[in-house]
Amino acid sequence: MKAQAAGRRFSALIEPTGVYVIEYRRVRDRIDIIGRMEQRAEIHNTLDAGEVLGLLLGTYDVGPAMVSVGLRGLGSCHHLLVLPPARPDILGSVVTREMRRLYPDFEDPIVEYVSGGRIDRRNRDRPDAGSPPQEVLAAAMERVSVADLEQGLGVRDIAVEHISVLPSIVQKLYDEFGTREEPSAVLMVLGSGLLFAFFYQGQLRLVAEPPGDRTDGAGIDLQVVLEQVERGGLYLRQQFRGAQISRLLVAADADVYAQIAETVSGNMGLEVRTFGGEMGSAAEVAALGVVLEQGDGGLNLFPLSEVKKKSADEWTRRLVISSAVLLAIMAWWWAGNGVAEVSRLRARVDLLQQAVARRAPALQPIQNIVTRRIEHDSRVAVLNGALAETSGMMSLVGIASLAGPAGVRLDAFSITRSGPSWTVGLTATSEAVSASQALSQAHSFYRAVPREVPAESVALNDLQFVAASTPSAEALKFQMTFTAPLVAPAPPPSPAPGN
Amino acid sequence: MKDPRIDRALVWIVKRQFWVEVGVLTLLTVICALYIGRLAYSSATALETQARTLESTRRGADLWITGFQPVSTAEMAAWEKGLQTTYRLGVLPTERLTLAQIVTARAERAGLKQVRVSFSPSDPATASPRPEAAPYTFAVAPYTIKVEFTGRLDATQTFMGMLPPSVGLVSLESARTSGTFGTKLLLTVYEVATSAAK
Repeated sequence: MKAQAAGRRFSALIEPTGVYVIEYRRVRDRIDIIGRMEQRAEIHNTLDAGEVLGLLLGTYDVGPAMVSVGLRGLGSCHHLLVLPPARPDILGSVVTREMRRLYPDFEDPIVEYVSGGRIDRRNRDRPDAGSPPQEVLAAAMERVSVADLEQGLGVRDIAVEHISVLPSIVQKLYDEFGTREEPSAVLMVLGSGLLFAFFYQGQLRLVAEPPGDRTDGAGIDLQVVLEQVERGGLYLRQQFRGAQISRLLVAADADVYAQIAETVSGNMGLEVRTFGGEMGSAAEVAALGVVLEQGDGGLNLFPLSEVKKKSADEWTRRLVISSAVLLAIMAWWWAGNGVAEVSRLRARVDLLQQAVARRAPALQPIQNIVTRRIEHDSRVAVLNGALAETSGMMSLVGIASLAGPAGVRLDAFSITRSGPSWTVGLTATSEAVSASQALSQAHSFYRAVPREVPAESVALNDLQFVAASTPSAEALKFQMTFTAPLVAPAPPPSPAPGN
Repeated sequence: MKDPRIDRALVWIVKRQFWVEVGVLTLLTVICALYIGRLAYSSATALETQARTLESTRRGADLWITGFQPVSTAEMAAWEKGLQTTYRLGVLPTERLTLAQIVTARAERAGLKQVRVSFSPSDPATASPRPEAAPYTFAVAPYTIKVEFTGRLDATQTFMGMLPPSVGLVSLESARTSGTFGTKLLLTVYEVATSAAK
């Protein structure tokens, strides 16, 4: 829209052999041609076309501008369809369906059409014969091709406002320059080849583009011209009740025009005239045709809906870019917080390390003293262990003192160190006036041992009656074993004073 | 021969160039941010732990410095006494006869009779090592002392309380013979050595 405000307008014909541009200005009811540009180049698709056209306009530093484009080939197609009369909304659907059927390779095509005249090959005196069919010039182009063309121009701030195809442009030129409704043939000698268009009652009825006949630099094959005009004439005669072509309108350079005029008038007796007035080459005439079509709102493959769609796409893209940027900002904010946290913690760790290092000299003598205290404690522990071992050993020997009060005589006593414990064995004799009392004394001693020493696994291994020292007495000899810990356990804490 | 699938893929990419570019750029940006962020946060966790440890160390050091009780004269004397006492938990290899003399004298002082002392090789299987008490270590001597005597068991108990700290009991066997007890003692001897650290 910025370009539209700038007011510079261009019209271009783009064909596979190059780009032809005119700059124009609309002044009331006329069109002023301000300048002409041309760039010959191998163009394979609309992406190339956009780049070449953009480069060409960029060379002249046109700044913001609007351009209308006429395409020959390069991803565009056209077809003359004969369809029954219908309302525009129905007709549009039918045309779209037909073009999709005819060009199944087109993915997501933009289809536009212009309705030509009605075809009535009979005198329609009978009212019950129904409405005659109508002829529709339809054109299609893949959406992506339109986008490619825009892309090449958009980078230079050049906006596309109109895209059309050559047959539609020729129809518009014929409307402007044909003047008469008699059957006519139009020949446009373009760089990418010849284009024949045949008109009946002022409407385009047939388009012929003989293949493999590029005209750039090598002149044209006049025999092809004669054949194509003859075939077109035959078609009109057959389709329109003997209609005869009376003239050939030619858009070509002056020397080519002269050859064609001489040959056609000489061989076929047709009136030959220039097409497009004093415009010059056929490409420039076609570029003018684009201007005319754009002004009259003719077939446009770049309709308003596309602009709206583009605008919607633009908004979608902006939204997506904003979302992506927001996402990236959030991700980097999160990452940045992490980095800042690392920086903060590193500084804190450095401070703490310095604080700890400052305390190290004061701690060194403390550490030496602590080490010595620990060593002293370990020495005390070892000494206590040795004392406890001796104490335990003495308490075991003290068992002998239990024998007398119990009335038992100790005969043998042994203590053997085995690992972490003592193994104690003893043999004793109990003598009394009766056997039961002797046993009672032995039992008393047997029970007293675990109370006096921390004996474990106390076992009575042998017990037998033996001869007593007096005949009236009873004696028994018994043997017992037990184990005791190497170090006597600490005695239970004595009750606190007063308890 | 070009693979048609590659051509189709290229066409697909070219047709959706904007979405591909935005998607790839966003993905790359986010992946980079996630990678850097993950590294940063894992480093932050490690630094946090380190800082916590250092903080704890600093507080501990402060507590030590402010609350530490210096060594008193009495404590130093206790250390010295402890050292001397600990030294007596073992004998020098050259002191075996002295030790035997001490043992004999103490047995007699305890009231035991017919005291006989002899040496025999120690049995590594029955010998119990004594724990280290820095700066000293105590090894089991390659000999044992065998003490034989007669006397009452309470005298034996007294004698055992008088044994030097450098010996340990391996076994004791007593048997009554004509009103008294004949006893055999087998004693492990510990030899003292100063540890290398001292």
